[in-house]
Amino acid sequence: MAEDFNQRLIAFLPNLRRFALSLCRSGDIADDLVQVTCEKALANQQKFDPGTRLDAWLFRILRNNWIDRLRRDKSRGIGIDISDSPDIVSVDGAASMESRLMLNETAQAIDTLPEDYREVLLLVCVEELSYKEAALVLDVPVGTIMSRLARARKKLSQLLGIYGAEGRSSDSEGKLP
Amino acid sequence: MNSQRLSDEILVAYVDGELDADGSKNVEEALQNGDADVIARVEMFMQSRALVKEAFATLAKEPLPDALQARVLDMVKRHDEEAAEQSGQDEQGDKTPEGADAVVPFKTKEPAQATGTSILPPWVMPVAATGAFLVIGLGGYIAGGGGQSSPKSGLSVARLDQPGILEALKSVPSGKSVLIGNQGDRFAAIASYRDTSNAFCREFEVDRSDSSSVVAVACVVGEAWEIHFSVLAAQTGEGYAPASSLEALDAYLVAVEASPPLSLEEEAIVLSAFH
Repeated sequence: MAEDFNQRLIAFLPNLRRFALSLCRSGDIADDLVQVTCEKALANQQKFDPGTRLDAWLFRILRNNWIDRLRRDKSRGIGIDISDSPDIVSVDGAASMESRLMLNETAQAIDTLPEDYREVLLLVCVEELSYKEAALVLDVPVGTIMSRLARARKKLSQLLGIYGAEGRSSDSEGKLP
Repeated sequence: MNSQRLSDEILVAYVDGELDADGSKNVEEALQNGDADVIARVEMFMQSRALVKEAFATLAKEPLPDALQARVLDMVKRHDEEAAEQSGQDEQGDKTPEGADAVVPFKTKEPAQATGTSILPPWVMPVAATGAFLVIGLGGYIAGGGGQSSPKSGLSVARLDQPGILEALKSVPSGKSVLIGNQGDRFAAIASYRDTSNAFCREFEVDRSDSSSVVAVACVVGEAWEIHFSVLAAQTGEGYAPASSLEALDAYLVAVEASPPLSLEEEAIVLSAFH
């Protein structure tokens, strides 16, 4: 069974790397994330429930690592005194990273979407996870998956000019960036 | 049927095959009735799905970097060897394969429990054995809460007894750092999560002017903050704890089955309750 696990893990490396790239947009960081994910997956093999999907489990590990890393990086800013802590403009590390997605027009448009949108697009439209599985990976309710997908795809279509800039919107939250 | 009732969410779920039979029937009726708005949106969701898939397909064709592949294969191999070694020991070597001496340059590791440090969870051992840093405290207190002073010993052991820590724990959002005390020490909030008992916990680093770093986890227990984990790490020169100390932390987080990090919004709600 361990052998089977190893084989599946190795076979899944390209998917993990693709997900990592969609999150961090940097080849080096993506490789690092994939590696750490594999380390954790191997170390926690016993915790994987064979009745569930390995891909979703691995995506989840990778994403948690990414969040962790993002916070860690952000906290490396210059210290300020607690007594006069104004709102610090947070540094968006991803923005300055080399872009690996600039391959065509669609990829460029996807690249401008917030991370929340990019990750759900990849998991559902590319990796073909069900909404329920994606919800598990991202740790949000299924309803959130639905609304993010709807907004992400609408926004993308507008950016690409294949859908009216202001279609009749049922977007009650109106939170499009 | 009024298409206004068919939200984007419903239509996207329809396109992705996630809608139940009743919901699908409603959408299909609208499509058959030639509802232009529904048709346009369904097309948009279908087209965008295809486009996303196509865009990422280019990425998928990119070969896995050799170095990455090699590192992972190596990791898997090492993992298997360690597992084999483990089971070999468990069974008193009775299934040691022939020629095993060719594969066993491993040092024999004492099981953690047998070393007299059984209070410490097993994850402490391999890490402490590397000597890269020291696990310096478990179960310390941070003075505060109702103003009564908590046992000092735990705090000093954890080296987290300087002023300002408690305030920082209650106020600094994850991803931000502040200077505390008057020695130029820096407190960096890393992440917040809940442990198995649903206690609110915060992971943070304290980087000291004497170039040591403490990576710690403090949880709210009752009215007080308790240090549940801390390691003292030599700084790498960049002013931050080396990655090796974080392995101990990761092991700890796994051991307590920590939730994934709370979002900044969730965290803000909890922090606001401290004021």
